[in-house]
Parts: sequence; structure tokens; C-alpha cells
Amino acid sequence: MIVFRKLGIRRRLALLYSGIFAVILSVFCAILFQYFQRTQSEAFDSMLYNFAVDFSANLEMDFVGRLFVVNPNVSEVGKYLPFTVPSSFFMIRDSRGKVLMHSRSLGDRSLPLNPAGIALLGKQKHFFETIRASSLGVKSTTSELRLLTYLAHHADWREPLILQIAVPMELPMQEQRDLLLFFLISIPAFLLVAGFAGLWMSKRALLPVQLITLKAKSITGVEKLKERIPVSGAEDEIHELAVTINSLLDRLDKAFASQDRFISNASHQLKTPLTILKGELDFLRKSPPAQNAEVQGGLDSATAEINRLIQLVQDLLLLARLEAGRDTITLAPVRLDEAVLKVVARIQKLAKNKSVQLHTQFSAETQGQELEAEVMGDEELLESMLENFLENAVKYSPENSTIELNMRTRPDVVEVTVRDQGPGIPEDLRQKIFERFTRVKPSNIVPGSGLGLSIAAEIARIHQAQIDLSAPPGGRGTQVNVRFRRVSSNA
Amino acid sequence: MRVLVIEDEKKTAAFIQKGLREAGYVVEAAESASAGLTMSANSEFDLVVLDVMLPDGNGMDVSRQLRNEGFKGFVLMLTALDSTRDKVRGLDSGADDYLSKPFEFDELLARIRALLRRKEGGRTRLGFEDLQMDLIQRRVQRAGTDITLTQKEFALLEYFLRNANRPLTRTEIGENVWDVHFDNESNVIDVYVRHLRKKIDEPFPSRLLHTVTGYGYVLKRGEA
Repeated sequence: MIVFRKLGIRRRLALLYSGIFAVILSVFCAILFQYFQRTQSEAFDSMLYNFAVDFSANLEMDFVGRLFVVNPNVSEVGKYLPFTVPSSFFMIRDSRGKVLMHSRSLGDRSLPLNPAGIALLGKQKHFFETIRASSLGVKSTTSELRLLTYLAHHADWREPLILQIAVPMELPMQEQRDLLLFFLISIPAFLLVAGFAGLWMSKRALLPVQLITLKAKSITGVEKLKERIPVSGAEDEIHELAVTINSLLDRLDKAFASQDRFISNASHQLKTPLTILKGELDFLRKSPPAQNAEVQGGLDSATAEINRLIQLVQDLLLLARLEAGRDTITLAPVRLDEAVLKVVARIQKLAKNKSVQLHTQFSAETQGQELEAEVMGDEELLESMLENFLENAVKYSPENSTIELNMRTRPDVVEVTVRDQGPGIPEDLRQKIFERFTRVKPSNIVPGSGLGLSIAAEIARIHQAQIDLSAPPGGRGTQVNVRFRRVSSNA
Repeated sequence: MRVLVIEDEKKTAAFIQKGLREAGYVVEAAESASAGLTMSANSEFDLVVLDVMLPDGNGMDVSRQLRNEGFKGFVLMLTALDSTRDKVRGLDSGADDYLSKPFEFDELLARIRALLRRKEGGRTRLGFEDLQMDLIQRRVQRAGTDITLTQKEFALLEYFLRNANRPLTRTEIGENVWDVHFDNESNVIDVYVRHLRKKIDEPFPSRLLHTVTGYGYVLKRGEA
């Protein structure tokens, strides 16, 4: 059953079709054979009966009561018989069953007749039996013989005689064999033809479905959601399928468009007041009244909060965009080493403020390939993910510690590892940390929205990269490892 | 230096104007796309600061129209949308730079300065021995053979060319090319220099990039 399911609908249909055809064909042939056998044996019996009548007409009895055959070649009177006379056996008995005469081929054996048979003769004058040649002990061309027991009357005779004729069923057997042989050859041939016809038919029937599948497969990106599957004119099932898929695409397109609109409207509406606030604060901090220490402190704190709010809004919008799916993001080959260094440049000031050393190292299994770290991705998103890891590392690092950043190029993958000497993440929190708004420490101790790692996880998902959180071997801290598949280099 | 700010949000426009004036630019403001296009047609501007979402059209159309009308100055786009797709569209429409809101005012000023520096020009070609670098087309040739470099390799080579014959420390290289202060144990500079050597030195008979033991690297004529 499992194998059957794996075959694909086309072959399955063809197989099913030829299976049904095989059953119908076999039943039909069996019925035909039965019918043929019955009519054939009826015809054979009536021929045998006619022969018996003709034969009995050729029997004469002399005045002493001796029997003789007038014309032993009764068959040769231009009659067609389904058996040959020389190969037949006959026996003539009186009405009590005593043998009066028999064919030479019988020798000292006799054709069977029991009292019940004699009684039956009294009622219906003749009856047919099929006997085995072996039970008779004679040699014959067929294994079975047809035996007619016939009660013959004659005006000259004192009493009726019992005439028994047994003939081999040569012709019927031959004909049955021929028919069976024909069936044996023709049924598989028909089935083969039917199988191919079924394959062809199911292919033809599924062709429109295949076209729809191909078309639907080509609709991958958001840009392509405007495309539709061609709808055929005929009002058939395929037409319905195409219309259904198209309406699904309509809804999908609308959903994407509205999500897109929402994100850009939200961006605009949220960011405009933030831009103004931030701009005004920047000016105030540089203006003369800000030289007052108290005012300066207040403005600094307000700026910090504005920056936090801006980060939160940006994170939320980015997360919304990422969740809209990988289809809205176009991936292109990106040099991971350059992305790493850009992020290092950005994060440096933050690290310096905490006197944290950033130690960057590139390595490869084959020397000289350290920079061939090309991955399929969105540069900005990749940078954002790496920045997140590094930012976290700096945030949680104690002062005067070192953060190790390693990029390792291997034949199929590129790994970026960030290792800090911070407090580390308890094992039971390592999964949870990727959920939204999860934080290891409250935000009044370490600032942040708690969205960074969810975003990183989403970005990793889009890039089919794998993130592993662990404790560095034999030490405190956290180790984040991201594994990307490399763009296969043909160069 | 004349700057036109096209921004419909009055308060945003106001603080951009204020800030740019303080920085010494002559600033005018327009509140809609049509007003902005009229103003740029009527007087000469060196730079247009353009918001992407305007009440009567979007910034990309404005930028395209400005270019069609023969505007020769710079266009710096401001937007609340910051996906790569939006940035690409903005730059494709004729903008020279792109800044997403909310921004640090200092960054806006720095970008304007960078744009204006481009106009003042400087050398567009650098060369040393048989090595030629075209800064506009971003092409590098050695002995007439084209060499393909990535962005960073290009920046690294540019730094070497600008400081030919002067030994450069790893610290100098890191800070000038990547804006990163690499520590002593980091191998990043060596990896990039090795990579650059593979491209500009190895295929040719004489070497240009040399190691200065215990110091750094230098670009100089090689011993045959």
C-alpha cells in the first residue's frame, strides 16, 4: 500500500484502471468459456445420439437371433462427426443387460452398465455419461470418453436392445484447448494495451493539473503574487481548480499588500514623532541653557529613553517584516567576512566604553580560503543579526574582559562564533531566550527590549542558518554559534 | 551652499532647517512635492533633502522628475521605510544617498559633508608602478590586466596606494580601512593582505606588497 501511494497519481490511476479491466476481462472470458463448453457438449451429445440412431438402423437380426451390422461404415455416409468411428467403442446388450456383441477394440472389457442404468433406460430411452478411459482399461486418444446408452427398437426384434457407444471427446477437447490458448495469449496482450492506454489517459487527464502545478510553483516571491493561473474556457473540474487557486492567490495577495501597507503606515506614523522628538532634544542639549547640570542630566536621560523607544519601534517593525515571510526578502550572495567587519566597526565604541576587548579571528580548513565565506542572504539582516549577538556579548561582559569573534570557513559551511566571559545563560533558559521580550536580567540592569534574539532567530530562519547557544568549553560565559551554508564556489 | 528641504511634516522640516542653518548652509523649505519642484526650477540648489512620503506624491517620483529636469545637485532621501528594497528603489530613482528616520542629526550633517566632498572632487585615479586604480569606475588594472576586487579589498588597496612607500601598521590599516581597532592577536588584516597579494602580486613577476617584520605592510617597488 505504501509503495502504491509512492507511485504518483498518474501511475496509480493507470494501475487501477488496468486492474479493473483485468477483472472484467477475466470474468467475461470465464463466462464465455462456460457457455462455449455447454453449447459444445450439447452439440456433441446430439451428434452422438444421431450416430446411435443411424447405427441401430444398421443392425439386423437373423432368424436365429444373431446380430450383425449391415454397413459397419455407417459414419462414412457423408456425415460430419466430431469423433472418428474407428476410435469408438460399442457394445450391444439385450434388455436385461447381457452382452450380445461388442466392438473388437474393447477386447474382453465391457462398457459399464448397472441395474439402475437399465431402470433409467425404461424411463427415458437414453442417457449420457462421461467415463474415464483408464477406468475402462482401454487405450484412447483422450482421457475421457462420452458414453451413450441407448434403447433401440426394431419392428423385427422380439425385444429392444441396449446399444452402448463410447467415443473419445477429441474435437471438443481440441477446441477447448485452442480457446484457452487464445485467452492465455490475448488477455495479457489486452492488459498491456489497457495499461498503456490508462497511462496515456491519466496523463492526458492530469495534464491541466500539471500545468497548474508548474504555474503555481513559479509564483514564489511577493512580486509574483500578482500573477494568476490561466483559466480554461471549459466548465470542468480543472476550470474550478484554477478558479479556486486564483481566488486563494487573490486573498494572499491582499493579505500581503495590507500587511505591507500596515507596516509602512505604522513605520511612518511611529517614526515621525520620534524623529521630531529626537531632533529637538539634540538641539536642546547643544543650546546654552543645557549647560546647567540638572537640565543636561534630564535631557540625557530623555535622549536615552527616546533612543530606546526608537530601537523598540524598529525592532517591532523588523520583526513584523520578517514574519511576513522569507518571500518578501530577496536573498543574494553576501560576503560574510565583510558583514562581520562592518558590525565590528559599529560595535567597537560600545566595547571600548566598557573596556571590553574584541578579538577577531578568521580561519579556514584550507589556508587562503578564510575570505571565501559567501552565503545567500540579505546583507542588512545578516549585519543586524551579528550586531545583536555582539551587542549582547558586550552588554553582558564584565569590564576588562575579552570577547572572541571567530569566523571559520569550512568546505560547505561558514561558522561565526561569539564567545564572551559574562555570566552565561542557564541551560533551562537557552531555548526560552529566543522568545519575545524574554530577558535574562531586568532592563534596569541591562538595557534592551528583549526582542533582539527573537529577531536574530527569525533572521536565521530566513537564511536557513542554525544558531547554537552553549557555554564555552571549560569556562564562564556564553558562546553563540551561527552556521550558514556556503554558496557553492565554482571559482 | 544652498539646500532645499522638501518635507511635509512642519516640525521635522523646522528642526532640519534650524540645524542646517546652524551648520552654515543656506536652507529653504517646501511642504509638498509640487512646491519643491517649482522651487528647484526657479533657483539653483546644491542639495535637496527629500522626504519619501509627501502629501502629493512620493519622493521617488520627485527625485526622478528632478533628474529629468536636469537637476545636477545631490539628492539625499529621508524615509521611515528602511528595508533594503525601499533603499534600492530610492537610489534607483536618482537619489545619491539615503537616510532612514529617526536619525542622528550629526549623521545627516556628516552625510551632507560627504556628498559635497564628492563634488569638490579630488583624484579620480590612483597609480603605482604598473598598478592603476580608477576610483569612479572602481576598476583596478595591473600591467593592463583587469583585476576584480571586492569592496573591502578595493578599499584596502586604495589605502595602500594613497600611502605608497610608507610602512603602515596593522592598527593604521584597521582604523582607516575598516574603522576597526584590531587587537594584536587578530589575524583579519593579515588574511586580507594575503588575499590581496593573491590577486595583485602572485600572477605578476614582481611583488608590490611587502611585509615589514614586527611593524606591518608596505606598498613599494619590489626587488626583481
